[in-house]
Amino acid sequence: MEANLEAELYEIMKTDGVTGAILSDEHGLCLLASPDVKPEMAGILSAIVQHASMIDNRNENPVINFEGDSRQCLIKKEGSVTTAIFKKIS
Amino acid sequence: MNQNLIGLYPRQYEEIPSRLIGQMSDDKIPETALMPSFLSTFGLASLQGTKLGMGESTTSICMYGSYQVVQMDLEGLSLTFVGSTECNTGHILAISKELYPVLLELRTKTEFDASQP
Repeated sequence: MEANLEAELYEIMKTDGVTGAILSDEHGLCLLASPDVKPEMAGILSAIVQHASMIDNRNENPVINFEGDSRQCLIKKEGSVTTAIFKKIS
Repeated sequence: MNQNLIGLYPRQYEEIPSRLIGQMSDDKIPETALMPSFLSTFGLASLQGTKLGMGESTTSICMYGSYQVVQMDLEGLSLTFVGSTECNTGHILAISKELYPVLLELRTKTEFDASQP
């Protein structure tokens, strides 16, 4: 049932610099996560998207980028699925 | 904090009858959600869940037409969240881990108070 989703996650993980990814549903529950990402993060990430979309009503699904010294996290909601991708900064 | 969350109840469920040790809710909370019988169901449901053969369950999520109820077992302390259906369930599960040390402290405090004559 989740084979398509797993295939997509595998594709994301193959991308250069990507260290982890997590997918959550509209309730903030984890659908799929790469081994080094905690499933509990799904709720927090989807809550961040919910709050961020309140900032600008014209932009319903913004891309959110958290950047640290060595890593960045990109979050985007599409339909009912929120995707977060963790990347190394080269 | 999640804006659709309308109630939070820690409850000592190892005691019979279970003792409510605190609550935080707004006016939108349905009255039935405050009844002792409603808040005590988790222990029973969790026990029944063990019959599925997957071990003891620690969290139950119930979705209703307008509300959702998330109940969890934190070492004998039953914590109940009541929220609207739009409330972020994953966020509730995540914040419960942050609340855990605070609630354990609260439990110790209430146990001490209950033991005083």
